[in-house]
Amino acid sequence: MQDVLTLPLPGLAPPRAYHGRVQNASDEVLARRAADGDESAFEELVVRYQDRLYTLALRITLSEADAYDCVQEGLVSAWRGLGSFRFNARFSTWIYRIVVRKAYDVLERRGRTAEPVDEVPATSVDSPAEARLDLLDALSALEPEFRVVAVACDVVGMSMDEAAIALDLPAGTVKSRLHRARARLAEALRTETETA
Amino acid sequence: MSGNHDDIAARLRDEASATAPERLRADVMLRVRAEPRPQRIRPTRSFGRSFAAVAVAACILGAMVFGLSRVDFGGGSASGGAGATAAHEKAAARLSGNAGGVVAPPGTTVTRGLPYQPAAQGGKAVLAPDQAQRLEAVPRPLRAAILGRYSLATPLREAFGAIDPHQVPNRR
Repeated sequence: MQDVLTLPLPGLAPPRAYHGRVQNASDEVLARRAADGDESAFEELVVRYQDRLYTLALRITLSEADAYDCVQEGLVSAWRGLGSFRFNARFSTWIYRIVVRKAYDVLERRGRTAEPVDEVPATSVDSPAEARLDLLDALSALEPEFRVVAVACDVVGMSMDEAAIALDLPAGTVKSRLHRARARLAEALRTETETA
Repeated sequence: MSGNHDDIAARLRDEASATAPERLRADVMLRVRAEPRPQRIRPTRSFGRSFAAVAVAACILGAMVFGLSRVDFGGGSASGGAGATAAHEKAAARLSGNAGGVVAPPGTTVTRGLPYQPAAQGGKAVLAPDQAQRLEAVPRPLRAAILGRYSLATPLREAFGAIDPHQVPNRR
């Protein structure tokens, strides 16, 4: 009886597999295919962007659970909104902007309800543990408007113009906030070193 | 200061990046597959393309109207437009009075738009002096075309008679 249950059912479709045509396509080509209802193209976009989106949301919200929800909601919103995406902007900027808005919503909700954040930010790269924690502590201590610019430009790797579009800020504001964020981080790390 | 900032940027790039949980992709795709497929909104046709289409249609329509206006259906009443009727009636009145008329060159018939007078004047119409000058002033190729068309119209009219669109064709 158990052997019968483990046999594959004939009506079930085989699991979706990536193929070269999807993997080699550009973001815009994949987005157009996804806008036409191609789920495998959208899945490839999810694979490409999930780490950057999660990093962005995590460093803004400072909570793994909130970051997870932001990315998940953002990607589902993107799937729903792909039909109206005009393709006159880059797909990356568009998806960053969606997730940043979700993260801002979390911060706003947290500010209204004063939810405590007691999670430690996750890291993935091996480096001297103390220095890493110092830098992440200093980053977490920045005000959100400076932190988000530093994360967008220095961690995720957006250009100034891309960050300006994704964060809905003037390019000059992004430049000045990035400069001040780096200066504050340098100052915080220098103070930490002197204290130690 | 700038070197310090570059060092901060490099450290942020190396140390502050995070990896998404493995179940994130599966959860997202599970929800995506439960959603209806997106309906892609096609961009509307641009103003330039619409204007070009309207302009081309207007040009074709104008060419058709112009071509139809140049077709000689035979008979003065059929070929003369409403705007030309008054002028041609004046010319006919002048012709009936024989006031200062001149005879057109041989082979020229200018009965288009005028009352048909085949026998009375032997196929030759009498032109006012100003009309004759206007005809001479036409460039030679165009004049040849006009004369050729008019010389062709007379035998056709004699062979088949004038075509009256309001009556049954009176073919012999």
